[in-house]
Amino acid sequence: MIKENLNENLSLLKELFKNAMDYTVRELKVGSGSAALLSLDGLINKQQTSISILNPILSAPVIELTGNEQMDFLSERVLATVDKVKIYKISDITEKLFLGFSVLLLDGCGYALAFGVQGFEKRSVSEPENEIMQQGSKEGFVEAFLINLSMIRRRMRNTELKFEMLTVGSESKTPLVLCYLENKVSKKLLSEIKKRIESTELKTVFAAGYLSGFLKHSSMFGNIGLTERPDTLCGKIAEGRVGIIIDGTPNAIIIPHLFIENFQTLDDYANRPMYATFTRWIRYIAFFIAVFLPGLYVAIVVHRPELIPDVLLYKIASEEASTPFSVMWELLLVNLLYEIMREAGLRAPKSLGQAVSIVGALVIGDTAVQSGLIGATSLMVIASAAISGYAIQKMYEQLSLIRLLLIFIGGFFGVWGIVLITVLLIYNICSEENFGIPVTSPIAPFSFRRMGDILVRLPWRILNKENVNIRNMPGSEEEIKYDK
Amino acid sequence: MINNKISSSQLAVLSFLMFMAPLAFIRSDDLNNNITDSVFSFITVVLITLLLSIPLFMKNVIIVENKFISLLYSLYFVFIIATDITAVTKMLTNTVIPDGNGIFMALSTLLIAIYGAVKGTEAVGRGADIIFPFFLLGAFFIILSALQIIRPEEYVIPFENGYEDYFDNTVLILSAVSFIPMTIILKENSNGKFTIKYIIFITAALIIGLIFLLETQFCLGYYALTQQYPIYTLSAVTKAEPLKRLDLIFTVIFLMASVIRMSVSVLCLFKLAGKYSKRHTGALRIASLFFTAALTVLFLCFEETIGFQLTVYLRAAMLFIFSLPIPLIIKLINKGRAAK
Repeated sequence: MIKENLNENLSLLKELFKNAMDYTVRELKVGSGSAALLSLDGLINKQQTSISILNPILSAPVIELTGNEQMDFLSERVLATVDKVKIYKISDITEKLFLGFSVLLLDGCGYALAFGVQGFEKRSVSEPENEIMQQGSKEGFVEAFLINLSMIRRRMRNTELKFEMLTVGSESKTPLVLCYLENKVSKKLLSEIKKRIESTELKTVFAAGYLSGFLKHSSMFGNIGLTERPDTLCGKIAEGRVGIIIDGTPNAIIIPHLFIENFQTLDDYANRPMYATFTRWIRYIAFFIAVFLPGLYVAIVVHRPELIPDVLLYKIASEEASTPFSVMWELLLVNLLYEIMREAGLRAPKSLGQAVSIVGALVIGDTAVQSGLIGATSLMVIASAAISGYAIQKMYEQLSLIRLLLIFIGGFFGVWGIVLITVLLIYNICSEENFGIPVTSPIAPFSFRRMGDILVRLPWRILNKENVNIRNMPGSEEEIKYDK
Repeated sequence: MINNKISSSQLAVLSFLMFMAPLAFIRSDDLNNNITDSVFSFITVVLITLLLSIPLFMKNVIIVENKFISLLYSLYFVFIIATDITAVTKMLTNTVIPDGNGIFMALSTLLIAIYGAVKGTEAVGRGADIIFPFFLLGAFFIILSALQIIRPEEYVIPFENGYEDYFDNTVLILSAVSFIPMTIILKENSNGKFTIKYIIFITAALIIGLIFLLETQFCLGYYALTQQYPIYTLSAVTKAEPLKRLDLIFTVIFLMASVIRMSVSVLCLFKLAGKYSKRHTGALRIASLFFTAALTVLFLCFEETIGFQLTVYLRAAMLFIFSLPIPLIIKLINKGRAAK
């Protein structure tokens, strides 16, 4: 607890912030007593601190009050800050300092005042790089969670929108905020999420991915969503889901997340229904190409070449005759080279990006084929699968791994092996539940009514009649009857 | 997980897939001479199936409460799984993968089926929901493509050689598609109205099966009788640009349906083991699976010695016993107890 003796408080805090060169203490006189303004250099806006805290205190009339009365007087009559919080514990002081608050301690007063005068450097709001939409806003989340919350608040002007703050990470003490609509969210879902967050044993949290492992079951197909877009998050919150904003990362977590949502984008709801349906189906087809094309190609070429049309078969046969590797190893090699190139493209400095592209295109695209190391058809197959994978960017990790697995299986066991692995993957994903909701809902268990936003994208005047809430997804533990 | 609930629609879809899956694995030397007769056999099988399904339409038919009955059903399911896997493996090694190791293929398929059962009733039910539309799409694609090669002159007068083929084919198809005991056991895990959905799906299965058989006759004619798996051969000779043959699609959809069927059988086995002895449930399940695997290997290696016909008649007879009389007796006993 905060003591009334200022020097004792300052000694304690000095000990806590020993060797922290950014910890600053501005001692000042208030009437006949002493005060101290604490802050962490670099986190506060010094100009605002001077204008709204220091100047008013220093130029305040001298009134003979002490202790709590003095502090009350300053708080209510002198200080010009908007964001002002009373705190009673030393631990709360440190917490507020880390959040960019300035804290005022007064000799003889049993509490402190914290002022929101944040002024740390932050990235400006820009379009998210990983979720580009043709229509819709160009704003994306940034690292500062308060700015992210403001973006959500601007879009959901609703008193039911709640922001609940929690802290995670025993060493980093990272703030995170649960965002939900109180009248739509399931209380059971909310309490389960809080329970899992509170039981997290992480020491540090610097990205949303750190937390995702604790919020979902370990599975191939993750059942939490990530987004950098405030409009996407608001759309999900409006369906009764919970958004989690973590300080220091522009990715927000959405819980729960269904498998079919990996194929949906915000543009689908902004475009015309027919075109939106067309693009949805493009993504569904892209999924099958990304996952199955290389494996099936290997399986058919190695084990069932009679299925291939003659002209294509002759081309493939002549290519395979002139390359040193078998089809399976060729595909694996091309796949490996592609993944290396992709990783290099992500990690290389921007100044080298062009060089990486040129080398990659030349090495893989041209030189390897011309030198006879790999066949053009194999390259074409992997390229098609890779590009198709980018159409469903959210699932790229899973698609890459499954594609690799199916190439092996197709090469060794043929179509039979691919079918068995496919059934195994289907069982795997069908057994997943996300906080009581089947991940495969509303495809399995099937709901004909929901197909209006799955197989097609019906016009808004029809979709709008649906009382869409994550709780009434088929198979959900809390499934409620459809209610118009 | 084993005792999770599924909806009545999911159970009906499971019944459809369990009914359709074995059609791919019925051998021609057992279908004897006239495929047109087998069309009538198939219609008879569907009617018999509906008759044997009476316990499905009754309430409170609970098989697993009696230990002795549970043991009998367990042995039945072990036999069914072993013979199903044998039929699938024989078909694959005779047509699609001639150089494949049958035992390895059989045990791998069993493993995948077990994996589904371990994941639980809901996983298998939802898996069926996902596989069902692909099955329908694949089947209709083959059916529509085969229309190009229909030759009306291939028509053969039904019962040309008498009724012996008709009766033999009826027994053969009935033994192949036996699924009712699985549905009876699984019905305890389902909720919702089942009867209408079940009848709809069985009708759909009848239509699709009939079309396949009719197309086999009208597309292949007497050539079908020289083929071991005539329905598979139909898909193999059917073209649809750019594919030269559609047996790949046929293999994929029927193999998926077969794995679902086997998973359901393993699920029923697990459920019965769980009821038979709560204390030793795990051990009983593992033991029954080892026994199933051993029986499968035995059938694969010694099928000619054991006799395929014997297997067929045994399956048909067991289907009758385990579908209708035993559940009805249990129902009567339960009713008697309730009255007391």
